[in-house]
Amino acid sequence: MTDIRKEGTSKTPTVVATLQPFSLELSGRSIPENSIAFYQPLMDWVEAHCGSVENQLEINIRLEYFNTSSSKCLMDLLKRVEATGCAARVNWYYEDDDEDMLEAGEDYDAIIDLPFRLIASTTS
Amino acid sequence: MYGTSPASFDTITWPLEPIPASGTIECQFSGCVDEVVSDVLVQAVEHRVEALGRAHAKPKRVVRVAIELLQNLHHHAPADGVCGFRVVSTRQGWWVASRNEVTDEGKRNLEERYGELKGLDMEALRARQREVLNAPERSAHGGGGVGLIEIMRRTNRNLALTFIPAAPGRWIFELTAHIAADHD
Repeated sequence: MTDIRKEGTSKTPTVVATLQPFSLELSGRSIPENSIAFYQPLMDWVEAHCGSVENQLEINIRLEYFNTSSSKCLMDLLKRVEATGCAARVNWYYEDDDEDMLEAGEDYDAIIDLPFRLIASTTS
Repeated sequence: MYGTSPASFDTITWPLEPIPASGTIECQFSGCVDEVVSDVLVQAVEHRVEALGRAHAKPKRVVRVAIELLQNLHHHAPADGVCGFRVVSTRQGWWVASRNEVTDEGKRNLEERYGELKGLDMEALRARQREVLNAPERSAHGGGGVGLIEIMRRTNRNLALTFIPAAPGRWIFELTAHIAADHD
């Protein structure tokens, strides 16, 4: 298993997981009916590489919408990274007038023990 | 009160909860909600919210509430059951309502769950959501029961649950969520 690249749809996010650079990015919207099935390959990817790659994993999350089942999967994914003990950093992007996404980022930050940056972007 | 006579989707008007008469119906649907229908309705709501602009309410918040209500319809309504979905806009904000049939047990579960949450203030709701997010348990659909908390938070607890008797052991359940305009 190496890189993962999935184009986003109206219900699923664009996913780019690469070893060079060592990064995992989710962008767009995550409202699939079966979020567990959608996120499982990412869980497997983390499991396969987080223990073996020495570089820091950069996790970029730029989600516009996500449903509550995705929120749980996202939490599981970050917990999986945390459990591997690999160096990782989460960059949580939100539009500067979107307080819901800011709060969501704060909630993950409060639970997950990984360096977490909340990054505001200007609303287009 | 809506009486005790059996009701059906054809015989009750909606929304049951008071919505200003000056409101504009932005989106309305009645039928089975599957993945495709849910997708189309989310896009319809998004289109209307964007068209009306930010003065009405936080646009993404309205879409988020619609996403949760449609997810509930898809996951919890009987596969062949008729559901209702309606979005109304006013100067005071948006009302997003969903309707589906539930059994006695479903009604009890909803009332019990809502009863546990409605006494919580916003900070306590947030703390509860973090607890559920952090817990290993999952619901059958993967959410772990965080949907109702999310709707309560996004509406500043402005939601109403209504049950109308439909047939012995069956109820029509309507959930109406109000997202206030920014200027309120």
